Amino acid sequence: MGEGELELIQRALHGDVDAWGEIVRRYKDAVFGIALGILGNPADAEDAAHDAFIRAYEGLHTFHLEKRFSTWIFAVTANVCKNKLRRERLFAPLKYISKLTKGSDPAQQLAQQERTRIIQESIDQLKPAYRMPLVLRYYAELDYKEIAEALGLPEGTVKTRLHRAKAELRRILEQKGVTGHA
Amino acid sequence: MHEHELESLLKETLTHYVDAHRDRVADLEYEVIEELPTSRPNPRPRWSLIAAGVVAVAAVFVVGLWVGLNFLGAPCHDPDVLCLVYPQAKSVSLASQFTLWEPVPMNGPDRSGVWWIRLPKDIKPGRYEYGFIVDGTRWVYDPRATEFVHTFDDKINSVLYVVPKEGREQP
Repeated sequence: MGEGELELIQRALHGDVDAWGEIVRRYKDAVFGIALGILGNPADAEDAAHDAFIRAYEGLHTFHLEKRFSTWIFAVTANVCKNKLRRERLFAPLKYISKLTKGSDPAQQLAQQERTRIIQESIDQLKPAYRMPLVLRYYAELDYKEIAEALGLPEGTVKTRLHRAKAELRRILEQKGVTGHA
Repeated sequence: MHEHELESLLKETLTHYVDAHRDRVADLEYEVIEELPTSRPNPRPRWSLIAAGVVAVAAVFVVGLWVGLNFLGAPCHDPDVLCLVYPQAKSVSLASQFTLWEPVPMNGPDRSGVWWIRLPKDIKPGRYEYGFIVDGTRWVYDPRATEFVHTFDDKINSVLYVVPKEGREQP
């Protein structure tokens, strides 16, 4: 648990909304990143991050203070995203292309953007059941056990899904001609 | 494509993608705070699920709940009471200079997971260091205290000032 985090959580449990604001400030990028990775749409990810922090505050009494807060808030985020996907059937391909590298060579920059766009689209083509552990592993950098806790799955299932997700992603990328680092 | 190449691509892509849209959550903490209630809600039944036709029964239940919360909840508003929110704890004790560092079991938890203990009536005015012991092993400082000290064994104690007449300055 980060420095002073337990104190912030305790204060939030006492109803101190400013303490919760500080928690939001610390975790908003990670939570938004997970939501974006899972939902593939910045506007939906923004909504999901917002909902996740409200829901987490409301359910803060269920958080075990001995455990890692990051795993818990990521689990809440993953659940919010899962519900959102279920509710809205959001499986559309990514519509937003990010502005990426800051390299000085426009051709190289363009190539990098194109490559990233293809990879983003490929991630989005994966089933949510594969996409969620993938994002938690490679964006949030959770280990297998933490992903299992976050998604409410056995650790073995997480390993299997990650393995299949990567195999599927590799297949999609190879179909699109992405074979390795340029 | 090798495993490490794929993993590296994934990390890079997800990170860049998020970086490009990070501005969207620039003010998220303020937006969230605006929507939060000023007092922490206690877990309570969903009134909407209670049959609309039994208004009278529901009213009686509301009154009962109010009485229960006020009489059974931890009296943390009392300046002579120390409180700690720790819903998952199986036991919480207070250890302080005024208990000669002997753990004294606290009351609780109430339905919000709050543990509490009333200061001894015969406590003398002065400055006292204290902390809470959760489940017999874990030392936890009082987040509501206004002063803290680092101990020689790298723990944190909370500090309580007991004032003679005007009341007790406490978290």
